[in-house]
Amino acid sequence: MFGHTLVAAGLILGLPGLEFVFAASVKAETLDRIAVSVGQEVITESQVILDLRVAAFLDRKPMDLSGAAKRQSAERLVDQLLILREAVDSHLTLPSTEATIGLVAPYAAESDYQAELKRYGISERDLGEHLLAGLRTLSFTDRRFRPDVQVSPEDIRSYYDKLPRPASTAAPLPSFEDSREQIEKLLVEQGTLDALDKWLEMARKAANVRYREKAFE
Amino acid sequence: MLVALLAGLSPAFGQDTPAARWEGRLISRIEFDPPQQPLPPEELSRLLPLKEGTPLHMEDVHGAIQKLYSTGRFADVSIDANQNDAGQDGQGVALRISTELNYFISGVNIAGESEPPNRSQLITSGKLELGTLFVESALDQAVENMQEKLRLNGFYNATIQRRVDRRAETEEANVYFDLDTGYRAHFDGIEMTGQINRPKESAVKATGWHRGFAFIPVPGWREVTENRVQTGLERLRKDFQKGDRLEAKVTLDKLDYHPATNTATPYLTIDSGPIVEVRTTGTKVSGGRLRELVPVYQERTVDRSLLVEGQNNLAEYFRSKGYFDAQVDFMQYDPEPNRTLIEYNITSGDRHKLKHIAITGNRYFDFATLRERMNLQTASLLRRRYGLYSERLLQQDEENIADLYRANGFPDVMVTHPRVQDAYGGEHGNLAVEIQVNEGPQWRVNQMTIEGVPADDETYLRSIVRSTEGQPYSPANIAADRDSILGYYYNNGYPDAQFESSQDPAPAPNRVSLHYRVTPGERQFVRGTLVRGLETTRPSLVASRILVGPGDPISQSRIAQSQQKLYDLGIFSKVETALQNPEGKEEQKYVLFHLDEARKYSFNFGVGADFGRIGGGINSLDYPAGTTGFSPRVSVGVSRINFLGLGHIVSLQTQVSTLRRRALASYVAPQFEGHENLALTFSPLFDDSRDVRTFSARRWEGTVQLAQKLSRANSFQYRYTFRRVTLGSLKIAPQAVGLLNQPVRVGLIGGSFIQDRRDDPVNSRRGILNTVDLAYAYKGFGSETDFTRLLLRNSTYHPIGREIVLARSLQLGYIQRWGGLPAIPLAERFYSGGASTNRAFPDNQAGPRDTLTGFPIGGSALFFHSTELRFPLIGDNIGGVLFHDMGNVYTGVNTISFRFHQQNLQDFDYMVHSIGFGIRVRTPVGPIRADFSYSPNPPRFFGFNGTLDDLLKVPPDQPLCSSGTPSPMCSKQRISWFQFHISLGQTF
Repeated sequence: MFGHTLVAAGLILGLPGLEFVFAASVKAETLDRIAVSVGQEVITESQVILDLRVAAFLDRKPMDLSGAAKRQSAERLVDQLLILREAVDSHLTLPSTEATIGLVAPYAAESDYQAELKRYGISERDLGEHLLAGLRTLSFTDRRFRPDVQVSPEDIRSYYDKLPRPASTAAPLPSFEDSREQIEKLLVEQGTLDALDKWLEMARKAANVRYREKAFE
Repeated sequence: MLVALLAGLSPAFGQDTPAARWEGRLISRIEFDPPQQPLPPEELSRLLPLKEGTPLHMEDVHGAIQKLYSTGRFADVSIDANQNDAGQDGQGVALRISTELNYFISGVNIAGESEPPNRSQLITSGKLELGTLFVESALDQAVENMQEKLRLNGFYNATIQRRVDRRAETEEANVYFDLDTGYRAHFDGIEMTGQINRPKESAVKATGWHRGFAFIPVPGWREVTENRVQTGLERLRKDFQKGDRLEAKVTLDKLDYHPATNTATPYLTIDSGPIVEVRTTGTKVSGGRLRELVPVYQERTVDRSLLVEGQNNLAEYFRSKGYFDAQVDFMQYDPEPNRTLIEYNITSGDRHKLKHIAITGNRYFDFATLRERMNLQTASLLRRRYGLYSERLLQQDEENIADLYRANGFPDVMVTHPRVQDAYGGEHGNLAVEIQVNEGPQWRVNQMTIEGVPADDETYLRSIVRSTEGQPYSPANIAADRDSILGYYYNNGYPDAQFESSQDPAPAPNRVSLHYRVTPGERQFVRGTLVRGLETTRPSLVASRILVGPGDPISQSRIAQSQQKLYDLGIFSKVETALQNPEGKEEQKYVLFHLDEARKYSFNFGVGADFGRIGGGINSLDYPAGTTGFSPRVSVGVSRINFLGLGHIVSLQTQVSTLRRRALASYVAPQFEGHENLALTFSPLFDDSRDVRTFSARRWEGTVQLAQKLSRANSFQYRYTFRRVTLGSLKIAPQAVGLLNQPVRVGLIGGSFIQDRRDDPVNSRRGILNTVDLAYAYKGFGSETDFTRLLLRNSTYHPIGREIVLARSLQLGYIQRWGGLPAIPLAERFYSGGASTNRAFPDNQAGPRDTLTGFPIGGSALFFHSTELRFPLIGDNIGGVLFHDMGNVYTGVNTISFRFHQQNLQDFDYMVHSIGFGIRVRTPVGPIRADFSYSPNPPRFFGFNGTLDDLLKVPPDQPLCSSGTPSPMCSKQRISWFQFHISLGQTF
């Protein structure tokens, strides 16, 4: 964080040389360390930070490298690793790189886009890999869990009946028939996510997931 | 301007990363913290993508961490960069790789246990697996599990101290548990609820938890053990199940412990359940048989699937008895509350005999080959009077035959039975089964390719696979090839080897091109062997038995062989082997051997008896041919194994009976000097016996023997024996006594060659056994008399059909005196006859006899030949034998004769024959043997009517007994025509 401030100050004050001064002043530092191990595989601190950078870039938000944010990112990466490992073991055909084209909201000019990438300290490859991993996770979840989710007419009716009724009659609740398809979609979505959560809980237990607290300080 | 700048600029998040600062700098040095790492430097260098003198890339930093962690040897890894002035721009970087070691379980050791539970049970309950990653938290679980095991065995106050010895250099964690079990709790009563339809005392007695001896109760309760609790519950359940209450249940709700008295009260719930009655109608079935065939008795529950199984079993039982049309159905109903009736209605139909089995259409396999795979059996006189036939067995046989064809390249084979002919041969009830085989074309391998392996491997693999060019094509052969190929790679350091096969039709008809693809994967080698658990055993003894060493490819079969060799030493109760860090992706791994030394001392005690023609007066001259007698026997022994930690065995076996007093000490060095085919034995012996009825012999003997196993079948024994034998109570003519009753010293050097090619030494069906035993007694070896002694034996076994065996055995013996004493000492002569040579004689009653007393005096030559026809008699466990024995012990080799008739009462050099019948009852320790023999020409001889004192008064030169004018003191006697022998094991 202190680095952030110095660099930002350097830029603001038109003193780009300060950046170099800062870099040169670093005599020793940790390049990378294990943040989480999942069985025999590791997620390093640099991967966690990269994930946060890419996420911030996509959200067009400032970066948050706090311990809590890192922990959240590590959790997400663990889930992603478990899912992708299972997908490979299941011999599922997963989306390829081409599927990520067009997923990033367009920039006014290519130079703006490149400048933003640079500003967040990520490369196009980092971005592509991040998006691809996300797509593959979604694809696996969809194909593995969605077919097993059964929603009965009673479930849909029950959901509809429990919807809060608007106080004013000006904007009445759509009829059951009009809402049926949407509710069914929602319940399937919810069931899929529940099944994924259950599966992840079991997979985490089986995979011997160990966090190294030092990486989240 | 500043505002514009502020508006146009936002924070740059990407400029302060390590990547930005260090990426591309020259790596000047790579060092490890700590400097000593579990992996050798060259392996680390090979693993790491980071190299000195190359630019640093953050991708490689991540890769290095992943690679190191994947080896499994590190719990944590981090990489630091230090600025360094190396490189053109003076901006080099020195990398420090910091690691934290993992530890792996190299042994679990228990001390202070009090059985039960034994050490092994406690270790198993701890669930700490050898070679796996040691995790501190697993220790808590292990202690908890062991505490539970101890509680189940009555140790409610046990404490467990734990200690872990770590060795950083090999990353071992050796776990020690010190137990203080305290006192074992006792039962203090039983609380029962539910339907208890009997006095409580009766239930308590059934559990066996109260002290008692047979039917006599003794005050106090027994100790709590897991086994006693379970056995007690089981016994109580069986007790409640009496009277057809098959579904009675006894449940242990809790074992309530009382710390103040260190006692525990079992709380039981009893549900006696309904009365379940099983009966048959139509045909009677005995209660015992019904219990055997209807599984509700074994499973103790009633459900439809068990009743159907009982129905099938009953039908099959009747069909196996010749009622091939037997039909069984059943009904279940409750005639009154709390009573269930199961009624099997059996229609047995006519009884049949399976007289004939015909197989047609078979060309590739002959009739005998197909019959070997069939369950159907034609009727035979002794064993299966009605044969064995049922529709199910017939279908099974058809499937067996089809499988055989399919495994040999006939995928289209059809096996059917067009007809089962009744009234075969015109006789009602006789069945004939015809099985028709339609073989179809045989498919063969046109070409076979193996991909993914080096050329050398391919040459070898081609020599071990079945599906080579021209061989039959079958899935069974491919499966066997898969096992052979993967077995080869698994045993040569490729644990992840994979095999795939594919095939496509070849241009020629009924030909297939076969393709094997092998992916050997990464090869793994042995980093070293770690032997743990030794307390007194010398490490060198163990090291020489381990067949894997550093640099060898990891071979599961060699590890298993090492384990077997260690077990063969006989000094370890448990030999565990494992790879350290089994999941780790590293090129070299440690092989762990954890050894649990067996108890050093073992004791044995036995009682037995000899029963046969062994009796007669000890101090009288009665019954020179023996009379029916009984000799009780007690034996006690003690062994000390692993003497001096060398794997040697010291033992003392003693035996006392009315016929013998014997003490045999021995010192055995098995696998002598590390040679597994050698065994050295020193054995001093004291023996005071009178198994030869002519005299009592007191023998002091010492033997040194080196046994050498040449191959699986052939072995040699080289030995030196020195003995001093003193005879007493001689029952021979007085003039010979002075010559023969002197103590004799004999020193012998000799050896034996044994060739054993029998299929089963206990109950041989085929094969051959040859033995040659040669000994030379010479004054240079400390002997008072010089002679050679040769004993040859040849036994062969020939199967006749599937169940009958023809066995024969020939024994030849010869003693040649060279000098020293004027005659071969009595105790060194051949004494034979009896259960294992010629059953015309009681034991040791063959051969020359004293002309005055009629007692055996042994001979210098022997010849015996036995022939046995062994066959099944009743069921699978009782067999019969018809035998013929011939032979005798002779005065000398030149007097061996095949003459049938005894010339006179002092002629013993003729061939005695016996024929007879025997029964063999199969038991786990070998067959129990009872033989009854009749001899048409047993020896007749003169006995002496008088006492030993009378014998001394006989003038030395008076021909007291002769065929012409025998003195009244002489009586004509003979060995009985009929003999019986009972013993253990086959005759030969």
